[in-house]
Amino acid sequence: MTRLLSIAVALILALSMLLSCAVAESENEPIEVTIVTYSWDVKGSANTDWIWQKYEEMTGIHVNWTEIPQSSAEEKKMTMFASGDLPDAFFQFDFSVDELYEYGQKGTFINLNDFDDYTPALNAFFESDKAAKAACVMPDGGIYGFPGVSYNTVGNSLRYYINGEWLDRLNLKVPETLDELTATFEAFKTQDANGNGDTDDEWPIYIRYRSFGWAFERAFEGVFGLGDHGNNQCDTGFYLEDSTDTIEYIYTSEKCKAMWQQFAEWWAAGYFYPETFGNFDYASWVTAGKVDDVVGFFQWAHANFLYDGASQVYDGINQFRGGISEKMSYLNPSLSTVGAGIITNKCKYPERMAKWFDYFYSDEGRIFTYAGIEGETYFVDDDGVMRYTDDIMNYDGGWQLGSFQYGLFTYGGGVPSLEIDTDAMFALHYSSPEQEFGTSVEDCSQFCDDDVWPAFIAIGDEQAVIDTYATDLDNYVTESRVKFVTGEWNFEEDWDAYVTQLNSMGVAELQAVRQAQYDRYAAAQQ
Amino acid sequence: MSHTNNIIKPTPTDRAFRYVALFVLLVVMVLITYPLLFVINASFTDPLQLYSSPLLLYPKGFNFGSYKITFANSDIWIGYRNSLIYTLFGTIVNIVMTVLGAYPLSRKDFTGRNVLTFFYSFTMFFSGGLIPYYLVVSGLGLVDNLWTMIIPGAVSVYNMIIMRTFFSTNIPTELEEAAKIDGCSNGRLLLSIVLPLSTPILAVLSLYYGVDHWNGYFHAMIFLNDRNRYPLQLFLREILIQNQMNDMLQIATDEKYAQRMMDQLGLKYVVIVVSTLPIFIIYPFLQKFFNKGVLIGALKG
Amino acid sequence: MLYRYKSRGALSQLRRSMVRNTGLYLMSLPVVIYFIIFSYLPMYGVQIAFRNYSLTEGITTSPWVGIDHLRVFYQSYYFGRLIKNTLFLSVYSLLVSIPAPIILALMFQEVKHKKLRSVLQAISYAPNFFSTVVACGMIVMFLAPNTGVIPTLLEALGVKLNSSILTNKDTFRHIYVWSGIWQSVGWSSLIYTAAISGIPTDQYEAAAIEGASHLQQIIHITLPNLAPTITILTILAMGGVMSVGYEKVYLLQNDLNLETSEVISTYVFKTGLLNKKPRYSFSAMVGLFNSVVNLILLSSVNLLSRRISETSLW
Repeated sequence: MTRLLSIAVALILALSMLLSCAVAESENEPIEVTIVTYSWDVKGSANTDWIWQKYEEMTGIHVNWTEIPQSSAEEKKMTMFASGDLPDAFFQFDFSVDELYEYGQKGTFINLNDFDDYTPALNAFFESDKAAKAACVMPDGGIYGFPGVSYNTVGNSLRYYINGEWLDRLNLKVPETLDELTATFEAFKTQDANGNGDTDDEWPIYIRYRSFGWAFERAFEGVFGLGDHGNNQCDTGFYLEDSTDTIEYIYTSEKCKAMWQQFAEWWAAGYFYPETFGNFDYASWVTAGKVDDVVGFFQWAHANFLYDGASQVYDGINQFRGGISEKMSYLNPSLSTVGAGIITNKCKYPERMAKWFDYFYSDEGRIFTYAGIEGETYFVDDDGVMRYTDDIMNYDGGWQLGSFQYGLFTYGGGVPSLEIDTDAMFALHYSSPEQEFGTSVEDCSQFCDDDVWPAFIAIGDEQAVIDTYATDLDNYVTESRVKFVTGEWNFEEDWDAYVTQLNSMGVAELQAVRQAQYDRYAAAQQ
Repeated sequence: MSHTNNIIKPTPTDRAFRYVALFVLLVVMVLITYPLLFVINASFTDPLQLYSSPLLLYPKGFNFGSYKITFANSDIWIGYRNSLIYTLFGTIVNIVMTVLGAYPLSRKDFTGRNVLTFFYSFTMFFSGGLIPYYLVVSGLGLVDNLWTMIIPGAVSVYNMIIMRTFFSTNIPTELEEAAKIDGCSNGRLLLSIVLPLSTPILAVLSLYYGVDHWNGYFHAMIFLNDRNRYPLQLFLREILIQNQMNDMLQIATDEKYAQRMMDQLGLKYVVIVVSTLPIFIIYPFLQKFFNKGVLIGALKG
Repeated sequence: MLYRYKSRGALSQLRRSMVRNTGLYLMSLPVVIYFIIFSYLPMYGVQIAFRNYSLTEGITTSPWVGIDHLRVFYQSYYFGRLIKNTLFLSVYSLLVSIPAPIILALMFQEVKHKKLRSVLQAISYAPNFFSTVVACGMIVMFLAPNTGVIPTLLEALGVKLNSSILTNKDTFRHIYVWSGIWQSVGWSSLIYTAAISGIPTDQYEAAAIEGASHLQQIIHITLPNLAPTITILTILAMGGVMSVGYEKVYLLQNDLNLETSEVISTYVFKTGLLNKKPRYSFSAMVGLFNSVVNLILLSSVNLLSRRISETSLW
């Protein structure tokens, strides 16, 4: 009996091994798929990328990449859909959450829930980060895209940069509060901070053209209690008022008034570059920073945006204290893109395709996509730290473009993947957040709220309401802001009329929509 | 072309008029030439210097960097070749179609010409948008081949109306009637009398159409996928990819970003020089045709 | 009754004309076919203006919403201002851009040296090929306070500028229109150069024999000969009044000149930017609205012109 049983077991084992072999074989059977992605002017075609050749050897899936320049993406998208000429998948190709939801609901994009047997790594990631999962699950319960995730908060945020050389020359320390900041501006303005003998050629605040509202002001919203929940929250024009736990309009609030009064004070004191609201292009900014050394304070993701090497000179500041709140408001959630990878209903091998994407979320796959293969794109040094090869580090355009030449996922953002740990990522190119951003992850984290909102989805008639009111409100705010800040309007006489005007333009209607969106989000978080 | 004042000497008012006209022209030319020089100089200047010396009467710190970047791209030559082909054949088709459309409209005895003009003009205002247009063009099999750059867009209503206006003002009706009495068919009439008298407008419209082909990229962007068929402008646009400020947070964490952005600013000017030069050179050749019509007019007189 | 009689008359006239001028009808045939295929066939797409078009549903099956999109547009707080700014900008443009190339073409005729003239003409049309981005970049650079050529020159001439030229809502329109002239005047003058070349020289000779001065010849021969071209181009220009392109306006726009610089196209562009989803139907509806207004304007001016000058499109 036992013998019979053991024979049977052996037989079953053998059979199952045979079967699994057969399955494994069919799993790696060569197939061809078409994937649409962007073309980049800083790299050759994806069809010849090192990483995709390696990945084809691993998966047996040959990808025919169709590369579309970002400038014509919108038109190509339209013609692809209209003619039914869809690819098997989209990779790092921008679909907004609203589009993703719509096309997913219609069945054009496949629902990953139906293929969750093939996405173990993604499932594990969702297990580990409930908030991320909540952002990916659409109102109908479907998941229509592979997300792009990075826990590098320093890279996910915009910060202030202050001229360290000027501070040293004037014997000042990096300001930490709003009051200290104002005092520093005053010193920059009145003294010869750049040491050229002229006390009048320094501009304490020199921000980019057309960035006042959505970048400069947005960063300060975190100081005034208007931006606790990050960039997507600010983007809606509404904030969560803690005292009432309701969604309120930013631009009619007393907090906004306080913020603009601060800006107006700075404007009146002459701290802003006079053309702040004018038109000037990037070159004039670089010239001001690099050649003329007249820039005291600016903000952007990376100090080197001002000029190559600016990160050696400028100190990063995450947020100022001493206001109503102390949060970084220009902060994107770690899950930056919901639809970074998408499989369409044209795909004949959705299982294989799902597995293909899923690998990017596995421990092994994360190393493969960010570091590559040991001995080819990176090596492990004596301390056991992964480092890019000299070939990448010495690339003409820097390590980032160097690694991108191999097709690694280090450029452009919105890649369907889970970025490797921030420390490891920086170590790969022999760097650290301090070196590059002038700040540390710890310092940055102090100012980050736990609840950084994703972009909300509009359902039903909500989009129509937004369409009807948002643009006009936005325009009116834009026009009024500059008047208040530059002193053409004053807060005592004109503020009330301004608020009344906005209220008559549909604030309440828009507020109802934003409240409903927030309520759905809050419910999904539970 | 002098308005032959050989017979009567110019009066003092004539002379004064001429001097005033020439003076104004001089001023206008200076105003136009300076920015032109600026572009050429800027294309040879390090973009950073552009802001420290805005007048730029000569290239500053002579710098071929931007040209090198442009011509390092071997696609540029493919683009030149393709654009040349599209422009040449496209313009020929344009002119033929425009003449065919315009000539009947210029004839007073062509019943229905008003209806037809309206039928044509209506299309200047209403179009179905990109998607139906794409479906029609792709339905004709015109995606990703040479003909897609020639057949759609074979005639412009605007240019057709300009040509019609030229025909009806400059071709004397008596001439046409006389020819008809002689038993000349409409085709013969067009070829042997009307067209030879219309070289100036043919020259101008060839230039207008040619430039549209040369500078056009939209059609190629939509209907061409094969890079080997791309016209010059599409490659130039790729070099000049427009940066979207809102999306660059993650892209911007790149230490050489500033340098690349500055290169791009220099490239803007190079791209103009590179793509405009051929158009610029061709004009003096076309200029000849401006006079022929007059000659024939004079012969007839 | 009368109508039927008339139409039968028109029909028989058409039949007679078709027999007489078969060649002319045959000539038109390819052009007519071309427009049917490439313009009229796709025109069913106009209906997306009345639907909530979505890429996945297609043109004929997306939900029907009537004139909802138009309502959203005209109920906009800024609707009045958008129309006003758009009309102001394009009418101002027309007033300058119609006479300017004629004057330039006439001035070129005064240059007797043919080679020189052709070089000058080529130079004059070169700015037409500057892309909008470059042209606007140059405008901004030339007008920049402190460093720009124009403020520097003005200061040298003793003109005191109390604010930057670009961030002034009163100067925006002048900058827009005159920079447009700078770019297009040479190119547009070519049509008039051609038209002048087409004028038979015997007319001038006859006038000269009768003792007409050069100026008189321009007034009594050149201009009347140009009149139909001028009229037609003016009528055509009226058909573009509502269509002020967004790119140049947007590039010259800033928060301080919005009051005069916001036009229909920039507004539509911004609603698109603000949206996470492209508003195909809304854009289509605004486009349709512009087209209808344009067509009405063109038709009215055409009618007027037919009454007073006998030159008209149809």
